[in-house]
Amino acid sequence: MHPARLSFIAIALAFAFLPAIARANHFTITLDVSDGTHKQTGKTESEPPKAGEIVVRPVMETKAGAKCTAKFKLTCASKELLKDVLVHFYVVKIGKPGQNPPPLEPKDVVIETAQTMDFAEGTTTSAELEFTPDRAGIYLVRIETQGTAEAKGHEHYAAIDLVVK
Amino acid sequence: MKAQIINEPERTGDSDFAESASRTAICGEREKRSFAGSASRAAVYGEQLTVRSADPTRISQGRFDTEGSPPAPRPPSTAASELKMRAARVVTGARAAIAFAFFALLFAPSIAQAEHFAIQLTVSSAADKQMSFSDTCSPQRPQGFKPRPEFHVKAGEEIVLQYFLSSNFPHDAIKNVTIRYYIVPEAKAGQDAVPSRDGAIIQGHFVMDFKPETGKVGLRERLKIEKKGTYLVRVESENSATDHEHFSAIDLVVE
Repeated sequence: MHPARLSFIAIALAFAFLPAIARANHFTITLDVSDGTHKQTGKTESEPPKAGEIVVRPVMETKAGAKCTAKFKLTCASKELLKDVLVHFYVVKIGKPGQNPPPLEPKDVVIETAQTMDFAEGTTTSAELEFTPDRAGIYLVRIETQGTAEAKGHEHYAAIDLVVK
Repeated sequence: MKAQIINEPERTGDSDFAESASRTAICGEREKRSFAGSASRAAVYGEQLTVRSADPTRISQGRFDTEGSPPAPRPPSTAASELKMRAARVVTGARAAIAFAFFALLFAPSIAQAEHFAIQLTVSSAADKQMSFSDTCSPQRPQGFKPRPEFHVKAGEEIVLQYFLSSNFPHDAIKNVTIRYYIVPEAKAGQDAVPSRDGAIIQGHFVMDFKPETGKVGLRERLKIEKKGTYLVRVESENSATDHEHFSAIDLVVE
């Protein structure tokens, strides 16, 4: 094969795989919510979503006043040091399942946490948090990173819809 | 990071949270200042003691006047008055030494135990709020050194638990620290014993690394307590690789 054609193919392949390389996950997130009888797990997603990707959030049902426990673990997979990353977790009332994260009005937020950390490859943080949604409705349980989009072009999150009856 | 959150116009809750985080930093500074204030007060007390102990001898004997000034003429004295003066000198010196030792012992633990975490714990209701700051605890003294503030609410009333905990240790990252919080029933407000977490109304924990001076964690949670009684609200560090841990606590009286 002609060398020029070979180099063209190499460049084409590089361009084809570049987005996948660029969109590599820098964090692995697991999010579990349980109320003692039901349990649901959310997995790592990225924001903005990959082209053509439709993200469906897992759903868990519980009763109003039930004590729920959210557990999350976030592990850095990036080779580079990611500095001053904000790990943000919240449970907020939303209008319907699958709705985008709303503004966090204090009256609608059941629990909210924030951590600031530097992440080297393999660095982890985890939490186990109890909360009690006392009103019926749909709640978004979400753990997300903030502060990596500038360097990496996207953020990571895991989310679950909690249906409180 | 804070700026990013604040700049998002929709996230009002976030910006409030971030604003509170900056207030924590200010409170941390305030705590440092008060700690520095204690140390300087110790120095002042030391000075005053020195002056007090020197004054009587200076007046009685005129020997300790500043150099250069001519020595005051000694009054004619009998052997008895000379003995009295010597005894007074010994007593004054001993008193000064005891007072110095007392203040040294009083301030030694706070000087020896460097502060690693600044904590601001707040419990609030629609009408009122109570705050508490960092205290240190050890296996010998789990209840810490400061008296706990008290907060009263009505049963079933919505309360907001909020805390910010930030590292003010300047030298190195503190790794794999557990930050634990809980609200647990206790027998009476101000009790020394820390109750078991088994009966906790609500609890949780984080495991994380704290980078020097800027590592922090915060939480805000809405909840209701239906059962009347006295509860301990406490946030504490575990595994911070020192001989002591940090905590902040409030006695919550549900009426």
